[in-house]
Amino acid sequence: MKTGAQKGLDGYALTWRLPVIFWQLFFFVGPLLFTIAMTFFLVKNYRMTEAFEMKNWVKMMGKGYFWDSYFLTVGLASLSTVTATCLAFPAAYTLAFKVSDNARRWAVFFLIIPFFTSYLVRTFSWYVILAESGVINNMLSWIGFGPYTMLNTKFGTMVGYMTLTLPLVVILQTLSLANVDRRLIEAAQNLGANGIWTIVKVIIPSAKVGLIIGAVFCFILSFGDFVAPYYLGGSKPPTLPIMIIDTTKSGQQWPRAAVVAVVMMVTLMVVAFASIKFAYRKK
Amino acid sequence: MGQTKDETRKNTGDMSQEPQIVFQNVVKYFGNTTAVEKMNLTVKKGEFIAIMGSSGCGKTTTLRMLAGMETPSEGEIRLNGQRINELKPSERNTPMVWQSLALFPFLNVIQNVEFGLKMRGIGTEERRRRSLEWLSRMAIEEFAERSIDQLSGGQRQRVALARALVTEPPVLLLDEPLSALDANLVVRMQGVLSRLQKELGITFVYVTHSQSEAFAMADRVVIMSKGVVEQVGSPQEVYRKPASRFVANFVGSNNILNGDVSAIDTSSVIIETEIGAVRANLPTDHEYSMGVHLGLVISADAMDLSMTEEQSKDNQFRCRLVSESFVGAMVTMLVETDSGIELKIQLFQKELDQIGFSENTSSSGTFLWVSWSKSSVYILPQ
Repeated sequence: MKTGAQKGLDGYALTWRLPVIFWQLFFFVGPLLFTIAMTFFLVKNYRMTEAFEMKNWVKMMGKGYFWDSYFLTVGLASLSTVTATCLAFPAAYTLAFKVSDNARRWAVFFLIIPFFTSYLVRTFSWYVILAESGVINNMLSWIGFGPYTMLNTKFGTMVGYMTLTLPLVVILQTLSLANVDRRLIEAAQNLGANGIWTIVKVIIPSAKVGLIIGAVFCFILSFGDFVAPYYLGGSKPPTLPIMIIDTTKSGQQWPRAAVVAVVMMVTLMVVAFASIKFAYRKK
Repeated sequence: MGQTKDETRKNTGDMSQEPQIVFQNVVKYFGNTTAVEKMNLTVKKGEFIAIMGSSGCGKTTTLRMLAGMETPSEGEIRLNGQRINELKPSERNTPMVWQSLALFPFLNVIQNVEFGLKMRGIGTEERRRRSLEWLSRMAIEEFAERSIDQLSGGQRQRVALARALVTEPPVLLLDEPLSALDANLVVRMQGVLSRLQKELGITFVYVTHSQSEAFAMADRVVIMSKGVVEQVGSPQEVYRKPASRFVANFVGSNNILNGDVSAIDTSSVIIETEIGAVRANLPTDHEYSMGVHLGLVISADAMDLSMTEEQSKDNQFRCRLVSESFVGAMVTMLVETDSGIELKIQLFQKELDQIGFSENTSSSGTFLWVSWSKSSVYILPQ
């Protein structure tokens, strides 16, 4: 014990840390390394065989449709992030500044409720609402509009992404806005800042970290989501998660799917690191 | 309260134009509680006015109403003759130096100072020039590009002052700005504030609970209690002629005695108090008659001490020492009269040495003689 403490690692702390470390090693680092290793495997006669060749990488990187899909996914996830951030902000602002503490607690509770039900179920319920003969088109037809095609479009994909991310983004934004120092807001108004200037110059910079973390979560969830682009977006052209499914189904191409997965992982890591770095940047 | 009204009348009478700040019958309710009650106050241009009172007395609410963070429930507040009740905080030019300073942590020093100018749509170059001017005036121009968390308490204080003053406001509001600083720095910042106020010639409204801060800097002091203005006057007036029992208790270290008039002659009045008969000067415009109940104030520093009974004293009482404490060269003693009432005495250490007082004599239970002249007895207004 004594020597351990001197090294800054006493047995007690280690005991509690070990499970987390093992969990991370077995279920995160291990599979990740295996996925990376798999990208160098080969498929022969529909069977995966261990190898160390660059064939999968060359094949995937050389394909135009891979890059189309890559930029489509990045674009859709970015659009989803911007949309969710902009839609969530007025709601979060209202909850943080315009309602009582009690109302805010209830609102956060109601925002958590969607997570009680399966995301897939919530996605399918949009069919009823968005379909050509669905609720929205039905109502629009009464005033002489439509029908509009909303399913199997990028709009549909966006609706799915919002279903997945919006409650979370609103919660994260609300919590970070509620923690903004009210004294700074008063000081800004005292120095001549009107409502808009106060939001732009004081509230957003004060809540920056929370707002960015909300956006990062939205990007990560949308980027990796298979359900929304597949069921509501019609799966064509495919996003990267759809491409992974397609690749594994056609000819047991697990190694090529692993290439896509690794590219996605790297992209998410770059985005997450860059965002966090930006959030905590001085000044 | 009587003096409050006189003071207001005198000031408005002297002024040829409208005074800078006028509170007219201002009332502020928060739900069922009254934070400020029927406040009447007039502040001249260029005055340094301190609003004092214990916490919850309404002093901060008063300041916040001036800045527009609170709206008066009744009455009118005028700034330079214009009614400002309905103006938003951002529409007034009444910057405040906050107790928390409320500097923007995500902006550096000069960006903080520039903030008010930017909100007023002043161009980048002029903004920078004026801000730098103020930074150098506050002797912190070398920190212009630093972030706030790299500054010391005193430096932050100066940034807060520069930020508030850069827009050249007619009035500066200060909400206990020195309460977070250590004692040495407080004294230095008091000097900075006093000098600044004189140089700029603008009105300072300074809220504090500290008597020493208020008395050191202010031209006039407003004493508030439970939302009511108890007295408005110069520090000397408030100190020597408290308008009410509350003020006498709140300000300085006063001894307050109560009693009934037992004799009146041509020049003095004798009041039978809890410690015995006390002789006081008879005010020229007195309306006292026998048996009238009066409150007397004798400030602790007006009392003398001797080891033996002396002749020809207006008031002299035999006491026993209870405790003593030293602050610098000043000694504050608590003594108990024969009738069991405690009195506070303030003397210089030098004076104590002169009368032959020492630790030994005090601890042996020797009697002391406390005396004061009849002219130092102040009779509270009835």
